[in-house]
Amino acid sequence: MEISSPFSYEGYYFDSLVLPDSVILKVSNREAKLKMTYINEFSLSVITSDSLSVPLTINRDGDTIEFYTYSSLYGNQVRTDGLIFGNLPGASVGQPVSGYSIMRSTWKVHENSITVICLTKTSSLGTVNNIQEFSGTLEGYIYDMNDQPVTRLLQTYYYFVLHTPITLNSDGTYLTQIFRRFPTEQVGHLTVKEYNFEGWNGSVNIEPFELHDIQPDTVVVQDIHLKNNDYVGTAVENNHSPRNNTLTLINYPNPFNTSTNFFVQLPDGMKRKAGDISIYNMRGELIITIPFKNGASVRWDGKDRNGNVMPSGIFYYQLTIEQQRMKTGSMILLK
Amino acid sequence: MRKIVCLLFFVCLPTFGQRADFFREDVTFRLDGFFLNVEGYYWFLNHSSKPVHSNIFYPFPNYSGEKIDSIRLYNLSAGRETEFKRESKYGISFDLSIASFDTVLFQVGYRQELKGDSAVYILKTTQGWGQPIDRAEFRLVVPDSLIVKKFSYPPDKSYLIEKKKIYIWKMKDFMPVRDMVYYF
Repeated sequence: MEISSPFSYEGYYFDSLVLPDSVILKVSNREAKLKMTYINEFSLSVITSDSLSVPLTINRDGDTIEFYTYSSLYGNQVRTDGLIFGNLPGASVGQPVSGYSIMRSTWKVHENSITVICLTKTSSLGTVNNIQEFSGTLEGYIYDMNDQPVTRLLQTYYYFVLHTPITLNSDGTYLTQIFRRFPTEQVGHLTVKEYNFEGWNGSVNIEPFELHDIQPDTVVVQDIHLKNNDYVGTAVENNHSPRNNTLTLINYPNPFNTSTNFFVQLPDGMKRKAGDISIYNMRGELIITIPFKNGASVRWDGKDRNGNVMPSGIFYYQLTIEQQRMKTGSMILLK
Repeated sequence: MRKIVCLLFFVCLPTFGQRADFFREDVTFRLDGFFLNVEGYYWFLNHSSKPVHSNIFYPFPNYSGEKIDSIRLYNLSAGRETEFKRESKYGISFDLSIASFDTVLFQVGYRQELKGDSAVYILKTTQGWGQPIDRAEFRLVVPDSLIVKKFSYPPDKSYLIEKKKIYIWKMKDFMPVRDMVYYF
């Protein structure tokens, strides 16, 4: 059995220069120390028997697993984390069948909080951000109170919260993953929640429905009907581009070795105007002039207008539009 | 189109559905002993047939509460500044949208006040993407009067030019095992 428990930004934040001193895994009064190679500052990766200091037997039918994390960085503060699985009272995830592992992923930053506990098919799911291969998938269309399909939800994140969030699809198709908790799971109410990093600050109920016999890696088609339309308009109204009133000149990379790029973005009112970028050496001699295209990158290969390769040094560039100097900067050529 | 939350760059949040891949970064650091200026370029790829919308979390080091300012975020592919949300001292988050089979290039810049004798750039959380970065390049520019005593990664090359010392790192298939730290 493999157990994963990534916990980032939770409780206390591990300094990335100072690893936690130790993590103790405790199962039914038996305990083992996690080998340090399996710990980083943000998460515990997949835990297998190889990652424990001594063998630890876990009851496949059900057990309680606790993690005790010690960090001298925080005065040897101990952090406790854990889960119950299987057939025990209070179990948050079912008994893993052959070929499955338990995944526990917790995200707590600021006021947000997401915890996912599920059975996963591959051990790699234990690592953070490799969750798209979670168990089953839910697809369907979402309808507002007037039975009109909801579309163009481009700006904000919404989830259906079941036992796990569901991702909204901007063209009106919902796509999400359902995690099996128990082999004969029946699922009841879903809630749509708005997620924007400020916390779970919006919640829209949807009509309840049931999902039957959700198995890992299955796709369930289920349309969803909102109980109110509060969030729909907001999301649509956010779908516009602000007017650009600034002139942008970006030079990258800098320093550079073989070539460097200039990206120019003109304000909306100047978009039709032509211009160029002139490059000078430290003596103020013009090396080359390069026309630019608005909203695109142009490249300088470190050569003058005669094709001679320039030596290492500092060069200056100047953006000129209709003979008016707009912006200047310097860059370093390294050979 | 799909929506996901992938806590970023380094820290990846529970992500549900299709996600972008972070495959290249190119960062220049300018260190003067008082401030660390960071200018990074980050490439993302959508190798699926559907557009991807993600929310990216870009972490800042905050070990001693160093002030971070002058934050800028630019989508070079779209040719526009990108709005971001400051996530307290931890970093910023921003929306990332990539058309199917397309790449997007972002510029992220900030200035960090330094209180101690080291400067940190968070790298290790890149592990959260679950795969090595195809290519990573880092450059450190310091005045020649500033002695960098120790690096968390040994530089591949160094130059002295016009009273500036420049250190270069070039990595391929790079999976960071530690942060980029400069001790001075």
